[in-house]
Amino acid sequence: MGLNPYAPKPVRIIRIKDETPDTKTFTLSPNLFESFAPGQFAMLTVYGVGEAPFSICSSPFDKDRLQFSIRRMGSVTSAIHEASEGEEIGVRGPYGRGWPVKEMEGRSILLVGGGIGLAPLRSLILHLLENKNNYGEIAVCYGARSPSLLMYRDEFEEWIRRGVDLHLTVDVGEGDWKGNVGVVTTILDKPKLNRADTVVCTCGPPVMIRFVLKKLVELGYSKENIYASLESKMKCGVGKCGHCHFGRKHICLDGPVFKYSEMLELPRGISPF
Amino acid sequence: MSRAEEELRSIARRLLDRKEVELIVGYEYHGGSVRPCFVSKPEEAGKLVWNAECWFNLARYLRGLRGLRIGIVAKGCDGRSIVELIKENQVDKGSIVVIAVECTGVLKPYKYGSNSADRRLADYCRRCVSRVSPVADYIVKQDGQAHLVENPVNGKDALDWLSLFRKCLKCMSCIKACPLCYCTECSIEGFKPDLVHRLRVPQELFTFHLTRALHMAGRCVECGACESACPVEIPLTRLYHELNEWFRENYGYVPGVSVKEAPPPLVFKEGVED
Amino acid sequence: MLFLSEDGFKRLLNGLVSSRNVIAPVEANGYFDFKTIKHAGEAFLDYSNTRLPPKRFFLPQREIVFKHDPKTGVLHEPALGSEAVLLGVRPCDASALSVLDNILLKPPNPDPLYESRRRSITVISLSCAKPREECFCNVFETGPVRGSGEDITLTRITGGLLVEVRSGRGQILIDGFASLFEEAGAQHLEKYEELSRRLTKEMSSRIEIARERLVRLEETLDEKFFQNEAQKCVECSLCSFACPVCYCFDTEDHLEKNVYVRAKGWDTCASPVFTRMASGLDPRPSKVDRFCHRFCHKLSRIPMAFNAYGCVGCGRCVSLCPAGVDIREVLKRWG
Repeated sequence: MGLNPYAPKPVRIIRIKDETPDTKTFTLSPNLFESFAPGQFAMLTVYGVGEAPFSICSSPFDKDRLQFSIRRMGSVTSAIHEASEGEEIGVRGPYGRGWPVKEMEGRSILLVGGGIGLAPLRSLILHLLENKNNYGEIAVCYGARSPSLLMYRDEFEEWIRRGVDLHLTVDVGEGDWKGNVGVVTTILDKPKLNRADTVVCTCGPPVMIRFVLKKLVELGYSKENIYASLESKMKCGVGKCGHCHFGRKHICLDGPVFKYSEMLELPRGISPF
Repeated sequence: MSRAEEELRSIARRLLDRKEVELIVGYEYHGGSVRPCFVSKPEEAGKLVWNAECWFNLARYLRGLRGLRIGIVAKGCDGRSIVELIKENQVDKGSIVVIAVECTGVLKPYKYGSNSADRRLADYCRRCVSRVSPVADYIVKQDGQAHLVENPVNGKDALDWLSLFRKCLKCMSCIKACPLCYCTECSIEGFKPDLVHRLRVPQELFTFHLTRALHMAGRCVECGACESACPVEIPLTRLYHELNEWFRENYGYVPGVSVKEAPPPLVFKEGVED
Repeated sequence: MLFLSEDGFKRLLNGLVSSRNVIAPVEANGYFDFKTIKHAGEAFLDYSNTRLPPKRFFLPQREIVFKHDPKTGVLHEPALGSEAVLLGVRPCDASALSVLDNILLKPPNPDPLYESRRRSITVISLSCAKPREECFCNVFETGPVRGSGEDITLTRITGGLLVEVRSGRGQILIDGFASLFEEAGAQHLEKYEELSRRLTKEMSSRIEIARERLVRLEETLDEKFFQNEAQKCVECSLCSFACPVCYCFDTEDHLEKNVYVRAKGWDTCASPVFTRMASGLDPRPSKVDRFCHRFCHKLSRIPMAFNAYGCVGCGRCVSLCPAGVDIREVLKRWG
């Protein structure tokens, strides 16, 4: 029999970092993937509990480790949250179509994230920074419900130092928050970019994506250059289980990253429109 | 067309004509058999049918049609489930008009893969206690047609439930076809963590069927919708009948007979005899 | 084409049963089902069709995909299919296997469990004797005489059977019983044509479909029609459980004797939790959406993704649906 595409391979959790009150970043080792593209996802298994798809949030250049930021939601994510360093976890992948890094070359880039939606964008940011010379300006607009729910806060300084134009916002301010208050669409006009020739990548809750897409077009970004990463329930990740078959597309094979025009063709519900 | 059918259609037409109801839930012909149908225009009342193929319990639709004034075609057992639904506050008697059709039993459905030689009265109809719905705004009497309820089935021979349950696909059609399975959070399906998972080891077949049986005990009106929907023909009604018998023997209670009679599990007080 | 006399067929059956694991239609409790038979007499080949399709021999309702022992780190791969002959499959159900091949064997990730069973089970189809009222295989050209996923096609004509070898696996089986067969003559082929014409004429459904129209079902569907139909649907999921093509699966993990096990098995898009994510978000939240999806998936989404219709016209869903939902009505409107 050929390689069993449904069987994960065991790796170890070598580090667990608290990102926000309900989200932790798990570092897994070894990295069994020969290579992966930013924006691709993997299926993680908590043995005896279940399996679910997660975006890879680490750098594609990190050959030793894989990282996943996981929010506590259902049975699998709760079980991962209860795991401790040194424990075994199953991994298979990488799956899906990631961000269009080739098309981004030579152009400026705007990344728009909401909440945990920054995870697949972090992988992209790390990729872009590693190849800074191949790309134009890199701007990031990121929003969360409150300051304590902002992901990767301790990395922002490093990103800015390496040339990222970072704009933050929160829905509700708290403590000593001095930044912008409002949803992410209120800061989309801040990055000064050549809008007609900027590639935009966005990820976040479906309702955020809907309004971000609308606002981007209003601001003069070209539909041709807008991409979003969508999410769906999946059981196999390889186009067999039928759970993510929407319209003409399998989210696992044709996505999770979709072009603006492709999203228009997706059926109601999964389409952000 | 039988006289009963003719009468049924004219009642339905009148109800719709006078706007006494917005929708009639009944049966229509479909291929060689019948299927449920919703009629909202008086001119469509002519498609309503009533015969021994009408096994589906239309009371199943009442919970999805709340807020509308409904006319419903009801066999004896359908009417009994309406009684139970009224008692359990799932249906407002004021918003439904029951067109009771006198029933002489339905045939075991002739479904895909059935051996055509096997057309007979459904087993559960042989235990029928009410040929006419206990709640009725109109009663359509049966005409001429031979009485199908011939010999009551001998319900005492033991069945090998384990091997019957082993056939179960856990498709849960029994739950979905049942007029009284209305829980929005079913303890068997879709509940987290799952009490029963379709893919878990076979032992759960008992958990599944006995949990459901206990939920049906003293409520099931033995309409047979579960059994007739079941693709592998597990005689579920027989199981619920045995539990109902226990209620009848101990409390003298038969579900679905009277709106006034309170179900024993609802009025039972610990330590109080009888 | 080969010809097999009635007597030759009896000897073939006996030969198969004595040398191989033979699965054939039998009658039990008033309905037909496929079972392993011990002697040729058990086979009930004069049947309409089985209540449930033979899909489960290739895609079981539940199967183990892997076992992982955390102590030793050993990954136990699932058991592979064992050799068998599946005899008397109706052409529609055989054609469903070729649809499943298109889906489940599609590179780069063919389903190894399905593949191994497909390799080890020889499928012998048998032409329909009398189409049922619900049958509409003529619409998809998946019957009533010849299907597309079988290894050997048997067609019953007066005096015997016509035998068409459809695959290498079929040829090997035929070679083992070579003395029973003779080359079919012109008179046999004439009878074959006659039967084919007669059966197609007997089919009650006369629906013309055009692929280019049907694949656009998604865009052109009339919501009112679907809303009315969906109102009747009780979401019992019998349509997917009885479908020879429905392949969507769910997985379940558990610990069994200190070994982690994952099972995979039939799922149904009629279930409200089919697309619901842990966060509670659901791209297909309403019954109408789920109801539409079933038809769009079979008639438009599968054809576009896998180049085959997701329906073979066996008619099981039409017959078993307690609410009488009828896919032929969708075909009539949007075919």
